[in-house]
Amino acid sequence: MEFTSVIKGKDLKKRYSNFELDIPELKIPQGLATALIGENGAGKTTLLNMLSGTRLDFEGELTFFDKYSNNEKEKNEKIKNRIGYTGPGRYYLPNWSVKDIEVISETIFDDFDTKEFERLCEELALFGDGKPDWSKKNGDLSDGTKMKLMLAGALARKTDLLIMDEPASPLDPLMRDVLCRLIGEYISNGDGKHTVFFSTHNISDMEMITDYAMIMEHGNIVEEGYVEELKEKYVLVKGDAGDTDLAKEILYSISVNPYGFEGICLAQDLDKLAGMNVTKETPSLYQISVAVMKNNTKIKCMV
Amino acid sequence: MFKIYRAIMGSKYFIAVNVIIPILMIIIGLINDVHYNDMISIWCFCAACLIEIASEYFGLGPIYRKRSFGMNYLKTAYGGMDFFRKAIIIDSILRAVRCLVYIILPAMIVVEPSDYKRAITAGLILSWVSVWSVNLTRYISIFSFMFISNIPFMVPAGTMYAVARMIPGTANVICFISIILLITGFVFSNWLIRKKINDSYKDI
Repeated sequence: MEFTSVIKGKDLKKRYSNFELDIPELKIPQGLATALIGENGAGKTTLLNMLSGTRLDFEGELTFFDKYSNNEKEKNEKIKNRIGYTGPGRYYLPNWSVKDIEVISETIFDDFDTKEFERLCEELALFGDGKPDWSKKNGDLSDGTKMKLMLAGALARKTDLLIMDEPASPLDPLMRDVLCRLIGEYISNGDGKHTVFFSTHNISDMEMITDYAMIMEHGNIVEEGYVEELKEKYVLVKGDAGDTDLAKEILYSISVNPYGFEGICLAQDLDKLAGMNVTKETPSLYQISVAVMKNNTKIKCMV
Repeated sequence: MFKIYRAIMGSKYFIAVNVIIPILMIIIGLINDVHYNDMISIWCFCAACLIEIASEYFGLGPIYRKRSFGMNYLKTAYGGMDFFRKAIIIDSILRAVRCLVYIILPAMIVVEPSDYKRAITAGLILSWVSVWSVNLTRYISIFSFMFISNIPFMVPAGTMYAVARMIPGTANVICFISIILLITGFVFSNWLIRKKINDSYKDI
């Protein structure tokens, strides 16, 4: 299905001594929440750094909002400020207080709304149940609270694209639910123009908000598509122990126990399971991503 | 601009280097100037250098390192890194002005006007030590290493002060050299921060 892309990438390459990111084509759909799923070391942060402008030493072309090259984006204040980014924990200086961060954000971003920032700090329970303490230092906050602070800072701006590197990782289940709600509100308030692109290595908590998924393995995008289309492409199959050996030849990925097997099968291969006593279910995005990653991983114990 | 300088540097740094350290320096200066003993004076001056060098401990820390705290956040804003660069330059200028003020002020309280030249010389030497040393201390997070790494600044500074104090007729030359070092310190600081900011966008 064709869509308008908020970011297009062509021949994206970045080399390290023992890793290479190589993406011939990248398209991130506009107006949706896209999840970039991959195991640790797959290249998610590398890709997000390239898209957000925190790293500029890569090869290839990027086009933002269907019009602007990466260079144009970096040199144009209006375009650059349309993009928000939250990254891994090393984001604000540890000696900055919450108030300092508010002051700095207000100065460097024209569209920063301090009232919205303060409201989000309270909604995200930045200060727990206690009284707001704006002099609290970033270095004294827990990892989860630091992430909440980053999210408040990013969501308090008027952006069209949010790039978020593992936003759910340090959050507790309740806050993950709040994050999903905030992302949902951000997209629905954008009238089709607001996009969220986030990375995760644990999609189960973010699946409810994900519209489009990309699965990444050792620097390459190995699978992508709308979540509903992926759930039609793959089928969760459960069968008896007696059919395990035969199923191993057919299933995309399989896990075995003494009572039977469970695995992901491509829908197009379902007829090969004829004759076996199997049940079919719609897999979750988590199950699909694990199956795809298992099939592509270089980690021997996972195969 | 001053508001963002204060926010980027943090309130702890601001209070430490613009309130607490100047008060300490004025006290040292009063002891130095009242006693007039060359050895005490030189030791006091070296203590002043150490304090001024160590003040960066309360500051940004090793912010220039790759993947350092705070750099990615500033990079997401169009003017973020430029604000940071300006904050660093303002810090360099404030360092020089601060050193001159709290060296010369106690001298004006306790010494004869004919001896002001010693205070001006000391102020100029301390200014270039402060401006130059911070280009190194910003890379160092361990306090003790901070002192050791700044011996290359303290030894010549102490020597220059001793020469200006004990050898008649050398104060003017020492002042001139200090002014040159101060100007080159500003230029070098500006060049270094630009280079470090550009390098932080690369995984090198």
